[in-house]
Amino acid sequence: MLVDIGNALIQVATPTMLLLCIAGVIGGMAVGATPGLSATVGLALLLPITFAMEPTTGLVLMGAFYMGAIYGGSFTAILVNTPGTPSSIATTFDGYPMTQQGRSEAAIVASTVGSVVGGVIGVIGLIVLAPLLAQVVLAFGPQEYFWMGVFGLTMIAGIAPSLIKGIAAGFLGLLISTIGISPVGGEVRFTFGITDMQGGVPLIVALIGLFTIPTIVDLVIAPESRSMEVEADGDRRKRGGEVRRTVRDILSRPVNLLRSSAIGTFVGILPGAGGSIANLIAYNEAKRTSKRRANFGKGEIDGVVAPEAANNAVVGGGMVPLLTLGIPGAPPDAVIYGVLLLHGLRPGPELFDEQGVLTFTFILAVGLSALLMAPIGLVAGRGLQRAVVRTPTYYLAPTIALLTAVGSYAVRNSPLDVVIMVLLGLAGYGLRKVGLPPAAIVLGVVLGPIIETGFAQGLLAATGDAHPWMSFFTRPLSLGIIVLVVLGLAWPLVTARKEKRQAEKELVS
Amino acid sequence: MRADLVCGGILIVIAGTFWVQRDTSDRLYAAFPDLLLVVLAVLGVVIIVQGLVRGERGAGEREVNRRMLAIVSVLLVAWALGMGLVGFTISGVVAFVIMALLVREGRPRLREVATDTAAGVVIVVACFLIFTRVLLVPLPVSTLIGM
Repeated sequence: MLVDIGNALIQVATPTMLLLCIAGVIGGMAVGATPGLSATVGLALLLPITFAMEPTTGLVLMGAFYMGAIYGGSFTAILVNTPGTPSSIATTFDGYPMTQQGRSEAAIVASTVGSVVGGVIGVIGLIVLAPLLAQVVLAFGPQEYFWMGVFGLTMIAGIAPSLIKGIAAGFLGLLISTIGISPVGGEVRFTFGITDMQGGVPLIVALIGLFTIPTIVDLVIAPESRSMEVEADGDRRKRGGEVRRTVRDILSRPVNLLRSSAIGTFVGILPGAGGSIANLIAYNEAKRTSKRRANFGKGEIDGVVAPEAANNAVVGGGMVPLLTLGIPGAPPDAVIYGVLLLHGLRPGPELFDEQGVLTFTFILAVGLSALLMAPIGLVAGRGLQRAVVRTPTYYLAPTIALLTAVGSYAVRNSPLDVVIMVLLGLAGYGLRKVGLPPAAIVLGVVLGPIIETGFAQGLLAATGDAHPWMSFFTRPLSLGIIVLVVLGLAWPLVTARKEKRQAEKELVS
Repeated sequence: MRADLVCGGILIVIAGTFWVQRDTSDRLYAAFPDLLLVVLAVLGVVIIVQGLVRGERGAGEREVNRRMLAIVSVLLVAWALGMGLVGFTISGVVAFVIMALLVREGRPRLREVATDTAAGVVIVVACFLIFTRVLLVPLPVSTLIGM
């Protein structure tokens, strides 16, 4: 294995590989930053180009593109409150408030640091822990996936001002996710007689609508609020040293970076979970354990670092089941799986034995791409940030609207999706006014399929038992996740009470 | 209180509307959506009761320009519907210019209309070409101008 890694290192160090990694990262970032075009779509577009390439070069280009696409999703999440990919949902929670405070440059730097560290740790996890972690994955059944989804939902306790309204918004999102054909059984539900609704409400469409339309409406009806943001950004730019200051600040709390990367690597290994779950769990954990938890949701830098570290760690993590078991962990992994098969390479333990140099060249190139995101991202990301800040609101609002329309149309090439996106977005704006946070609705839409599939499959798997429901509470792994769910729900309540008591004490003294 | 009553009411109406649409052919597959509907309705009732018990409290939301909100809502819906009917570029340029003028506020001057139209055409056509030619996403086209 060490000989293979050594040979792979020599291959990766060639100028061709370096250029491929740079091209892949830039291309991926461009696609990732476009709302509606996910990493999967980008990789699928890239697939025909790799037909004519050598297996190694094709795989390296795909790996670099995947890494760049996940990172690129953070740009629009931070700058215009539109996650470029579902992996950057949680990035909006603090990234956009930072932009509103004129701190978008710091947010872009934070996202870059998080993504680079997360990407590298995910690859290290892939090299060091692949066989061990692959065995853990096999122990996960539908019940565990159900509880993982519920664990993700506990984040609502942290993001909603009112717990009851937050839960209601989450359930509303779960309900939206049930529209169309059921994931288990194939029953058609809640289509209201519209045949086109059988495909349900795509996650990207709901995501774009619920996050972006309220932002567009705000920009149109209250454009004066943005001038403050532009002014604050100008003041900070005059002071200079933003990059160095931000990097130093982030690195002074390495636990957040390491924990979020570890979460991303582990969630990436779970087939079907992926970056859209990992970024939410990492954000929740960062908030739960932070001393500055009161700042989360109001522009806390750790709230940008955590999801970005986690979603890029998913890239390496997702390759563990792909390369060791032949199970794609997420849709982009499935495209890479296709490339492997196209070149006659069969994923599995023998891949490391028979094609060791090729496999490690691919893995190391993904790691190199993560490192390359630092210089490329700091130039391109900050360039985009400056362009967005300098764009007058009367052009920014319609440009965002244009991109959201294209993004939602591109999901299924359906004009109906654009209408659904706008209606959901306007509904989200109205619901926000009555206290139902759109972010919690999106959380429900993201987690709905995982929870429902786990729920139905878990019940089906336990039909022989006297009480099939009990199977959700008796498996050791399930019990472990249930403990995390209880902690996730109780923690914000306990800390809020503690802070209240502290404040009362200070008031008395 | 008013926000709570409206919020609870919306949840109950949504739960009721979806309940009418449900199909109970299989208990196992219906269990999850049924559970969601029941919980949503219960939460709606809880929020209403909470609102009634609490009464008026807090500073309330910042006043919204309702006229502007209505205009932008109609514009967005019309854009979404128009994209499938008259194509991406025509609907895009028209909606772009109207939205830009809405943000500018005040009576639009001819120079501003001309500048916004030029900017709209450039941005929309560039977007159309990038998506259809580079990314191979087939956007809806107008039969009149072919794009």
